[in-house]
Amino acid sequence: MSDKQTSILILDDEPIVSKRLQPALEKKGYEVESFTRSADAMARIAERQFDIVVTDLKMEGVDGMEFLTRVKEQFPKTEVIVITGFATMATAKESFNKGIFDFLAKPFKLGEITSVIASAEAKIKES
Amino acid sequence: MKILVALDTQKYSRKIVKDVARLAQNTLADIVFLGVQAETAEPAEELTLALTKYQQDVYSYFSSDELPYGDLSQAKWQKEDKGDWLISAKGIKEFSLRIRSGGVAKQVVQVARDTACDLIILGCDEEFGCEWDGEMNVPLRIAEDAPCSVLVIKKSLAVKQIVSILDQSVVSQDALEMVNQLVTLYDAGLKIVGVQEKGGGKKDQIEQRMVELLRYYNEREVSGWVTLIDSEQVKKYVTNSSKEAIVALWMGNKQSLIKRLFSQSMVDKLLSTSRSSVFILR
Repeated sequence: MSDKQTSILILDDEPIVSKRLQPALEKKGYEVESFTRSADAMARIAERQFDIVVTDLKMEGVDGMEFLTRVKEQFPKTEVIVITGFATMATAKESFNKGIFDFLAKPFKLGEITSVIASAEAKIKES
Repeated sequence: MKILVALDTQKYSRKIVKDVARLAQNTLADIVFLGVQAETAEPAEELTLALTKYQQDVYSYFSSDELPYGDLSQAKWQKEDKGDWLISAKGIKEFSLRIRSGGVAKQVVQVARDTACDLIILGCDEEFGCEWDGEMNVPLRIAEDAPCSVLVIKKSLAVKQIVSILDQSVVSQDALEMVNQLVTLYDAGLKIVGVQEKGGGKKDQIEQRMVELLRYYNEREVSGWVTLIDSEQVKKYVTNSSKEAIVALWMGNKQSLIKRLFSQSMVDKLLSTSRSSVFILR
């Protein structure tokens, strides 16, 4: 991977998540696009690839599991991080089986997710 | 999510391990098991053995291919600082055992701050109040000063309902998310109880907040019920609810009506009389 900016797509139907996360990640030099509707995020990934996708699971319309499945099918090298307020072992297992990078139950501190994103970025750069 | 679990060698600590394991299974949280002892040169053997046993019990809930934590079996206690020892292993997630010296409540709150945890869990005796190794009111004192929500588990009941008591003050996103995780963990129904001050001063504001919350849960397919009670009913309501449900009390900031209604002694009484668990939300 070159020294280009690492791109991140955030999908969470709760606007507060992007509101907290996007400025913090941009400050760290990432290129970030945020979505609160999965249909919009789905349309965006049809247009371009992101290095990292951070997605919620429980959402109206296309849920996060369907979204991450689509992302991994289309872009196997994209690292996906699941964030969920309704965590279960079954959803964690299913997510890892689909090749996600990490699974974070909400609530989490900003430092926790930025650290996971940094690890995902390091993995991408090593490959 | 990072969970700090305060433990000692007593029965009330042994009893919470199953709940912690279930929460760890669901959330794949980073876990810190903390034991606090009197100031000595070395960690007490009884406490190190107890923490190790609790950790092994949690690990046993996972199959070997599902365990998100690293192997701690060969790890040795490392002295971090005076009166501070640590064992830690990282798999996908991190599991740490920590021993600190000093007062229980003070050390638990300090470690919660140092490790930036999102939830503190501890047990509480069912019959004799919440004494911890001679220290009185430990859960209450932790709840008062904690930088995050605190779950005090008294008895591992088959919880059917989480009763979440809210007032007119702003409820943090972290607190909502923590309630969501408990609802999911216990597959429990959620009752949202709004509290209005006598005379109905802020009734519209509270009702609007409750409608917003109900919409939030409906959109996430969580069965929720809402009800509004007067402030003078709140103590009785909470005491009755605590017999069968986990009571979640929002006590987040100085403006909190519930914080004003629930004096320290009331929270302590609730912790003493509740049959189930009490969840202090921050």
